[in-house]
Amino acid sequence: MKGSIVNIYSTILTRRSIRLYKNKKISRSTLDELIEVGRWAPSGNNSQPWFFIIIDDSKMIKKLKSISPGILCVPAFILIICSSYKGYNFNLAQREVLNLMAISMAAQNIILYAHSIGIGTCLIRSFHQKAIRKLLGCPEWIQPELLIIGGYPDQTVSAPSRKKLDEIRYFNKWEN
Amino acid sequence: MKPQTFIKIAHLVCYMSSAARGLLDEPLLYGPMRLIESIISLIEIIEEEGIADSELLRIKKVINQEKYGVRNNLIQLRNFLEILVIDISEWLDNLY
Repeated sequence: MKGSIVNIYSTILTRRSIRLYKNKKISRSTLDELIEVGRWAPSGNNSQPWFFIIIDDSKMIKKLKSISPGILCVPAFILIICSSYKGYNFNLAQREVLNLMAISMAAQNIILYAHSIGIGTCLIRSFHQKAIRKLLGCPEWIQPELLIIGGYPDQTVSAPSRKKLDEIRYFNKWEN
Repeated sequence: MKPQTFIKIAHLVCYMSSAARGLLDEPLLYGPMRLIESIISLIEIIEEEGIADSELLRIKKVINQEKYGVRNNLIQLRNFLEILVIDISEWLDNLY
């Protein structure tokens, strides 16, 4: 593992969604590290139903931003996590759910690792899937599911509110 | 019109059409935010053409400063937009 060794508990508790970034590139090797941690996420039946497309060209970032209203800033990179709809055996409804679960876990790995090495990220779902697929030249069986925008943070974000543990945690039965 | 201005307009047209589609399925609060982003883009287009005055640039700066803080809170967003509408209508009034 590159970067500093940090406590995973602390990493989870201090990660925030970052929406302002410095105008500074992130190296391809660092971006590859993000994909590396993403591809080690668990997936149903070890299906690994993901493909990762990294956009770090400024013109492509602008184009993607125009079909992704959820992006409010200019990030250093946009990482598109796509799900694959061919090559393994589940029915479609199961496949959609399992794909989304796997992709979400890959995304979580990525944003936590990014935070641990000083890169801010924000997950974006407000985008037009078909337009992105067409812009990037993806085949029909590839579905862009989630965008991770990122870069070196140019803001400090305070902790948002969280439900209390007592409100959401039960032991053994649904009662307190 | 400068070529880069035309490109910015094209991006805005694309953004607004994509936002319109997305808003059919998204939370109510996202609508005003998409319009706010469009206002910023329009001011940048005016800026690109070299005809933005200091008040308009001040308004853009304020929007950029405030938009992240108000985006998840209906009351704060409403208060912000109340002020913004007054500022922009005064700016418009002074154009005549």
